[in-house]
Amino acid sequence: MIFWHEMKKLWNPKVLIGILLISLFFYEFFLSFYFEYFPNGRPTADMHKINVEMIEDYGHTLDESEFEGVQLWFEETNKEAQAYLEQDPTARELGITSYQSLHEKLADAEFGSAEYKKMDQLYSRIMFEEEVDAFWEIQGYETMMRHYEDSSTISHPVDGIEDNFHSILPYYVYENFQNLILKTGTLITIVVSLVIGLVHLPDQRKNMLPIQYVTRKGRRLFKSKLIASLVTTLVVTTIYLGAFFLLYSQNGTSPFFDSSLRSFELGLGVMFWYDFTFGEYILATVTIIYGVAILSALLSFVISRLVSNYLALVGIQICVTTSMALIFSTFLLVRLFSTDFSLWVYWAWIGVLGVIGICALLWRNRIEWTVDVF
Amino acid sequence: MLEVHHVTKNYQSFTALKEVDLQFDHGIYGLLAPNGAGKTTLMKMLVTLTFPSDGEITYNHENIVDLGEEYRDILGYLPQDFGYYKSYTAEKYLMYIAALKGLDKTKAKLRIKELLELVGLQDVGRKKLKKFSGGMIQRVGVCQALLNDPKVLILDEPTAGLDPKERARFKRLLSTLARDRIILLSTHIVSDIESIAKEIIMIKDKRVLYKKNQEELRSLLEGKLFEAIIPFEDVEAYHSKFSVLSEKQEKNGIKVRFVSEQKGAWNEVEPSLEDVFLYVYEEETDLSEDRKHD
Ligand SMILES: Nc1ncnc2c1ncn2[C@@H]1O[C@H](COP(=O)(O)OP(=O)(O)OP(=O)(O)O)[C@@H](O)[C@H]1O
Ligand SMILES: [Mg+2]
Repeated sequence: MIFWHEMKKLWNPKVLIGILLISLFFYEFFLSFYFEYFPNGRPTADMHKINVEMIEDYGHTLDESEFEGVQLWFEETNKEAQAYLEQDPTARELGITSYQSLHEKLADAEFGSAEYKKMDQLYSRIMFEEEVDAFWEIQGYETMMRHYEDSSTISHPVDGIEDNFHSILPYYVYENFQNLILKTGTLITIVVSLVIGLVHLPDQRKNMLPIQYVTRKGRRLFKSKLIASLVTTLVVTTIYLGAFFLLYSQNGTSPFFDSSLRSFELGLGVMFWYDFTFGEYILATVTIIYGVAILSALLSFVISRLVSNYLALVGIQICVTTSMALIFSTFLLVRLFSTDFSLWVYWAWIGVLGVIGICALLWRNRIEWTVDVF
Repeated sequence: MLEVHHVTKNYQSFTALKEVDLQFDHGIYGLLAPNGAGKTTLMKMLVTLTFPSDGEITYNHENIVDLGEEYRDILGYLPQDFGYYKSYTAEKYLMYIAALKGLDKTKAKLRIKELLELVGLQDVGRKKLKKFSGGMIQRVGVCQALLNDPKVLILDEPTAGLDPKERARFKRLLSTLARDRIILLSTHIVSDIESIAKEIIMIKDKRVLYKKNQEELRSLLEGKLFEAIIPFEDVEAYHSKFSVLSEKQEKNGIKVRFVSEQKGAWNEVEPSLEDVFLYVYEEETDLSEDRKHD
């Protein structure tokens, strides 16, 4: 079977080592940060704990009465902070009894005065040296509660979107995923372009075409190579996405998968045309990545047949992958289906990109039957 | 029967071949012409790698372009310089071409074994092609052309890079293959086709000049070819008066072989195919360059 021969040529060990190196480099420089530092520092880590607890206790939405429950947790935490301050001699001396009074007094004190210095030292000790959980948690609560309260001001932002924005999906979870999926999508595009870019050109450079095209199935070779390329693309994309989600599962965001994107945190910054849950949104980006991987494969496939040297191949490929990365980062992965653009814009682009890929392929396929081979 | 009807081939504004008419039946046909005459161009059209700008080529009265895969199925082709994968073994390479030719795996394996034996490569079938010499690669090329037992076998300078022993073996191989198929081979080495070719085709000025059997070709110079030993000073004069085909240093002067329309006091000699070739392409200088290497 020609298919297997072509597969073996595509899965050339040298190329595989090359893409492995590129992937490791890419991981190290662009991806590892978002795995290693998630949630990134405090109080984000504290907010994360609170958010997860809220989902455990109240489900994926937080209505007004449930919000009162969260306010009770907040008071608990405040009491913990007060208890800490009570047994602290410096705090007692300064007359600080709560987190709020620490903040207020620090703000009121004259900068540089002895009192200010003392309070500042106390603050640093609590927050950075001893990292007392209660104090960080209070910060987390405050941010979150402010967002919840602000979300009531989000009203009828765009025609057709009316929601109470009570879903629990913090912004940092969304942002972290955005960053990761953008970089992963770009890496997959690069890898696919590289691998599929080598489907035709080496044969041409090695002067194989006169022998291949004279055989019975010679002029169908284009199709066999196409099938091998598409299978390779799907396998490569699946492997990369598999590895990605394996790593991503360590970020512990699965509790939010069933939360709607129209959350009280996200609603303040980004609005979506579809009422997706976070999990559905992830699936949408995965679908886009498969689609763009196939598009990249088709373009690479045709380009590889058209160019006559490696320099031209690399040059064109850089242009193609850069365009893809740009499209990804502006709207097709980052802020996919957000109200930044009209809904039809997304579908128009998806349609246009699909048509470009298919037309390039059909055009070349027709030529293959009558093309001169030198 | 393979027929070329009034075929013209243009590359952009350059005409490589003009109004070529040819017929091929069973047997060996030698395409004898100097560099750049259009041998490869003609062969590429015969194997559907490129297409006539005008005219058509038919196999059993059907246009080969319309026959498409049906025609390519009975075709064997050895390109002038062909490609291979250095990291493949001879067997693996042939398996790949066999797959392209649509042979099934078990049949292909048997056939490959047979063919490697036929060209004397049975012991190196499992060796990587990068370890092969030029002549060995050329023989692998012959194998791939023969994989599908083609009815039409087109070989573009198949003996390039073969040593005299291999050349002789190849000649024998061709004669046995020619019984029930069309073989067309191009060469500028006359001895490759001498005695085995049924007909010889000569292309000159983009057209087919001759398509004759060897006897007829030789008779073109019958009674016109002479040899004489002359003093060194006279060589110039002979060159301006006659078509001198060769000259050779001898003890008592220079031995010249030349064509003259009138008889003289010279030794008349039997023309060989090579003489005809030299005479026909006399004015083409690049040829003399080529001859030195043989
Ligand atoms: N692809 C092409 N584009 C333009 N001109 C070409 C092309 N291929 C061949 N030619 C020209 O056509 C003429 C015939 O070339 P061809 O290769 O058929 O000669 P040939 O008889 O096979 O020569 P050789 O003995 O060197 O192999 C040459 O002048 C060559 O420059
Ligand atoms: Mg040639």
